[in-house]
Amino acid sequence: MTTKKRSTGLTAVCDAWQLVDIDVTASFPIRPYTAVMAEVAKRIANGQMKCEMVHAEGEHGQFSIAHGASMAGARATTGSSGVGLTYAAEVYSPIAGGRCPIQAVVGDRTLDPPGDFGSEHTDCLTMRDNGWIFGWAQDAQEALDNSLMYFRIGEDPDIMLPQIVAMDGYFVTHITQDYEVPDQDLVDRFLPPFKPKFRLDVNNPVIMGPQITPEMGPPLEWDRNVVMQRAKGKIVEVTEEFGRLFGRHYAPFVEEYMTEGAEMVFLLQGAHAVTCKSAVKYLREAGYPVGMLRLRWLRPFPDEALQAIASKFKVIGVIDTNTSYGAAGGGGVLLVETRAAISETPDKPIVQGFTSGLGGEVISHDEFFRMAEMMRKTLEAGQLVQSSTWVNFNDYV
Amino acid sequence: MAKSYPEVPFAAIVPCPTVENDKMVTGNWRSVRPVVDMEACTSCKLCWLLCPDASVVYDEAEGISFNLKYCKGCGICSSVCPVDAIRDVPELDFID
Amino acid sequence: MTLSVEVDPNMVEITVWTRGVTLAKEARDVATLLAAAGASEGKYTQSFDNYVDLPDRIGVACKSYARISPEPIQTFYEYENGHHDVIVLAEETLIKGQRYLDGAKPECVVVVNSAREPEALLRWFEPAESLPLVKALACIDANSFGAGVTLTFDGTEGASDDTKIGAGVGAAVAGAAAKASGCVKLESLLAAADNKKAVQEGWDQVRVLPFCDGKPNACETPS
Repeated sequence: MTTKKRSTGLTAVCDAWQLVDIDVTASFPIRPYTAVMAEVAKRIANGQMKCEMVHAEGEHGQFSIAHGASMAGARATTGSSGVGLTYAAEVYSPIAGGRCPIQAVVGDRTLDPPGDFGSEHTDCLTMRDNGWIFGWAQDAQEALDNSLMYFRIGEDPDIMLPQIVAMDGYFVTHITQDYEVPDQDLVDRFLPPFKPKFRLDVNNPVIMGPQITPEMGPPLEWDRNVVMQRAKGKIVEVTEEFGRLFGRHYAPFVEEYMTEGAEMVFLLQGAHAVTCKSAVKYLREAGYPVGMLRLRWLRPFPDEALQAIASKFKVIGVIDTNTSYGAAGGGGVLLVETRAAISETPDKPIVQGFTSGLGGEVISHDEFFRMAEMMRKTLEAGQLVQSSTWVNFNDYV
Repeated sequence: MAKSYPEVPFAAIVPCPTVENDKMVTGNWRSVRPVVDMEACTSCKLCWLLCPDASVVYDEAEGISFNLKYCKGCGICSSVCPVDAIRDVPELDFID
Repeated sequence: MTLSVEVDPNMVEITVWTRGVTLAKEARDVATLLAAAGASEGKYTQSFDNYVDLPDRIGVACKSYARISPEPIQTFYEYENGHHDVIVLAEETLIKGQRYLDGAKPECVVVVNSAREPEALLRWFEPAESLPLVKALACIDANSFGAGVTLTFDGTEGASDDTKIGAGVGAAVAGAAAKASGCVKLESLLAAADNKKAVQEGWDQVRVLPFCDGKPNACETPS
């Protein structure tokens, strides 16, 4: 029986963790992730959850503890935000390369300097090349659902990759929302117990992470490349299965909103897509031929899914709520990835970048309207007017 | 209309206050105000020593007084006074 | 010509001011209760804390918000109340030296948790230029009804708060705010709150001072 609940995105992930009966979680406080730490501790104290909670001395320790637990065969979780994520940087590749499917929950937070609790996607994105699979949830319900789906995808014996359930700090982590907690029965049918093929066991000793000679490197990394590509098919399969079982049908990679007859589309991820959809409705009413694409996965980046639809549009306005100083095109990560994904697509659209929502700032309806006006100018010009626009800093309308 | 952002200093480096930090005035955090009974006060200066915001002022001639621009009404001075010379009075009882 | 539209024009925005750590939960409870009451009346609602205030500093002024709208809320993630219809000061001293009237809408109602009469607070009710926006200033001595102020960090960090909603002064303040502003019905609030007696007492005992054109008690009574 589903339970209706009104709470935050992080509580929703704790609900998911409770349903899948995680074995171990490693904690260390950093806002906004701290809510998870507090919530899990509370549930263990009142008997709702039965996992081991190990309090680390820092995020590097946190991720290492989860890594170790996973190596021993436990369903392990952890999480962090902002500079906490970058502090753990050393361990990401070992975890992914070691094929330990831990799940990290991330409430985004701007990287220092100076101190700012507000949301920005840069923290997760700086770690994107390490071999984890991850994407952003736009609301509490999707955060819960993503957590369930990511366990299923990550722990699949054909995949075995760690996952990050990311969501915008404050917007999704702290603003209470209505969502449904699914039935335990359904979750048990959806996610089998975690039984990895290899684990640290004194009765069957293995060595994990030995020293290698250079010629073993490429084949090991080719394997990691193969599995990352294979994950795309698994994502489609699991998202469809989730829809059949739980009744919530997500587009596997790219959510399309009002793209019918749209000549220009916003492309973005996470919470701001919710405001974007509202802005698109108003813009359509006012005659702007605009729609929205919402990315649900950043790694693996959905090349094929984007290529299949890109040529329907003439302009894509990519909104980056992140920074990648000095990147090609002068914008953020999504701009680079999107341009690269469709660079060889026939009749490809013009791709321009917007940087907005940095520092945890809201992206208001007015700002979406202004971005739409700028995209319209690009549409009229038939070519890029400005490669990258930092909204409110170098707008051209 | 583009939103205009505040002027920010280079690398967020700001001068360090040496006497007072007038960018963070905290007098309006206060819901009670300390009042000292000069008759009872022995000038032991424990309140001056222990105020976490350095908002107790001691002057040889004037004795103990409070920097109301910054005093947050935390109540440490009134609770450490060994002769109970300091009372915490609701802030709105004062007409200023 | 960039598009300009009024978004969520019929939404009622309630902003609750409070003091960090010692009273933050009470503000959240007022917002939660009013939003829950609105939801039971079939409205679309939101209740949440401001994130920027850094409320884990004892005594700092910080805010919680409730929003009640007849239509689905479009500014769901625009996280600061821009235009306040109801302004609640959960601690009386907040009336002195805080900019609670910034962004107030015309006909806004200000409700203060205070044992004093609204008239006694007038000397600090500012800024003068904003007073024409005020429809009423109301006082309720909620401290005498609450079961005691509940200290908690939970909600500030975004975790779920298990302590009873409105167990402290929140219930009475919510009752007073509802009566003074009419934003929700009494029955809805009674159904949502744990401490129903305090809600009723807040509703019954709130003292409302009406304003007209920025002056208290200056409204012409119909003959």
